[in-house]
Amino acid sequence: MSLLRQYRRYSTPDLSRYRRFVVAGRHVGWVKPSLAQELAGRADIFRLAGNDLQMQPTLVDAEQRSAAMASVLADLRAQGRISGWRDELYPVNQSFGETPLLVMERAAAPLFGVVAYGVNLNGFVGRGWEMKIWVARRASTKSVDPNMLDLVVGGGQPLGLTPAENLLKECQEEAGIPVAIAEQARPVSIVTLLIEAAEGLRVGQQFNFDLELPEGFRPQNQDGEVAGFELIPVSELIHRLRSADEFMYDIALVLIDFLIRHGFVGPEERDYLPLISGLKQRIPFATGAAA
Amino acid sequence: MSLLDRIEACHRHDISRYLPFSVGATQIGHMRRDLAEQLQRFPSVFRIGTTEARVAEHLDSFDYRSAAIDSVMRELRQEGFIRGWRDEYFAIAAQYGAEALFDLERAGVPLFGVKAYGVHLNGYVKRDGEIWLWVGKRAANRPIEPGKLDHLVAGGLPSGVKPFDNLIKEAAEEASIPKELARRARPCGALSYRMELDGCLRDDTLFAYDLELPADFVPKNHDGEIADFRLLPLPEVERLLAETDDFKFNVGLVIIDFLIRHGYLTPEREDYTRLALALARKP
Repeated sequence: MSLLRQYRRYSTPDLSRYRRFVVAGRHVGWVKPSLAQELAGRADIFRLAGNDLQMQPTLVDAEQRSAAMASVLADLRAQGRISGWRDELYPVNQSFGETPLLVMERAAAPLFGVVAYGVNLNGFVGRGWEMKIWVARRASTKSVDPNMLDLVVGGGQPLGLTPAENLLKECQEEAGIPVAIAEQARPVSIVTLLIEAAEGLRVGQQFNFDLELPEGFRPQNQDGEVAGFELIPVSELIHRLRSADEFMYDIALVLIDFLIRHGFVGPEERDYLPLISGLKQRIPFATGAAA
Repeated sequence: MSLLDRIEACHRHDISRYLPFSVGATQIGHMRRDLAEQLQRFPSVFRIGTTEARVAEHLDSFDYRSAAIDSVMRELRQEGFIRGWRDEYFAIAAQYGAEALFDLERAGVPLFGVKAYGVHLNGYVKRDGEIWLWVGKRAANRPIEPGKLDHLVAGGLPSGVKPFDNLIKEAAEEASIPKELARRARPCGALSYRMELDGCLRDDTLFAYDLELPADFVPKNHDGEIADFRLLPLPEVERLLAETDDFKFNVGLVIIDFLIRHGYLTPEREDYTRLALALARKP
């Protein structure tokens, strides 16, 4: 079966059915009309204007907007409408590296359809068709995608760290990879996604890194978020991606990107070009992705 | 210029200047209007309207279409309308992997604005952990972009040839890379672009391959298409792409992708995201 099955697990959203989320005149996300209507009830914080849900311009800076958003999210959380609260603040902006217009709880990103940035590590041993890739089975207690397969290291991109610094930190926390080894990881690609999921609109930009690990290395989870690790031969990985949905959606994309960059999936694959273009799902406001 | 400008230049086009060109119900190209004017003289092969051009319906097979279109192309060549005849056919299809609709002489491909494919090889060596890229200088007599810098190996994909087989053949002809060495090349992606060049719409996809070469390998050209080769460190490659027009117009796409995949360009760079997304831009 075609690897495209991974791309089809979620539907591509019809964005015309959403209201644009606009902050300080900048389009940064999408909100369901019902939620927008409800939020507009907080007239000190939000207003509806045309097809937009805007944050009130009386909230003049990131600090005021972040505080206002935090109070709104606290209410939604109390009503049980935000699952998997992380206590992690994410920057909201149009493209990576821009000064954040506000910061907000990561678990609320899908409600507002704002871009969530993250880092991933393709940790592998061996070369060519002898290559094997380390993957992690997510703990059953995870709020998102429990028990599904994940990469050996990956995580959200918090404020104040570069992707490389964040990766180094996650390498230690999630897999016990010593700094001396983790520092060898190289940035290799970006994957972007825009899908409609149960929790809302998932808009993501992943910075991916490759790291060849020593043969004898065994990952050790430190944070309790992993049930176990598995070393999968690359040919088996391709078969499993073709035939089942064992991996988290975004991780499946990152793995397909890996397989393409390393030549395990090449132009003889009938869907080669749609596989490649599907790795950069278009986020209309993100710089560089405009039509 | 910047690396980003280099990519954007490959996406610049005004589709309204061209006539949509179809076979049956499927649009497969964007025809230059002066070609459409010429083709009006061949109503048994082409139906030219004011808003679209089509291949005549009675040509209902690959063989019929190929033969009829080829005879028109040869006549236009006789009349001097089509120049730079290559004696090389490209298979024309709606998209990669779809059934070929007809074969077309390569010189006609940009005039019809149909999809074409090529293979490009990033041939490199590692010295003290640093990557150096082999680059060729195109011969002065090349019909397109003479004298410009190019990949170690690059070529259009002829009809009926698989990308990897084409790469092996071109590697031998263009750079004398022995078959057993060339076979180590790995596919690593594809770069698509739609741009206007010399009044034509080029709707191309380049299949990119990487090949790490032995430190002592020296390329030698066989087919006269490359004047000389040089081995450049990546900072110099980046400088040439960002500051000069020395490289052939589309080579930068494949090289910038190479620079990202090998971690030479990093997310700390302010324009990293824009570069990565611009490379993937859909027409």
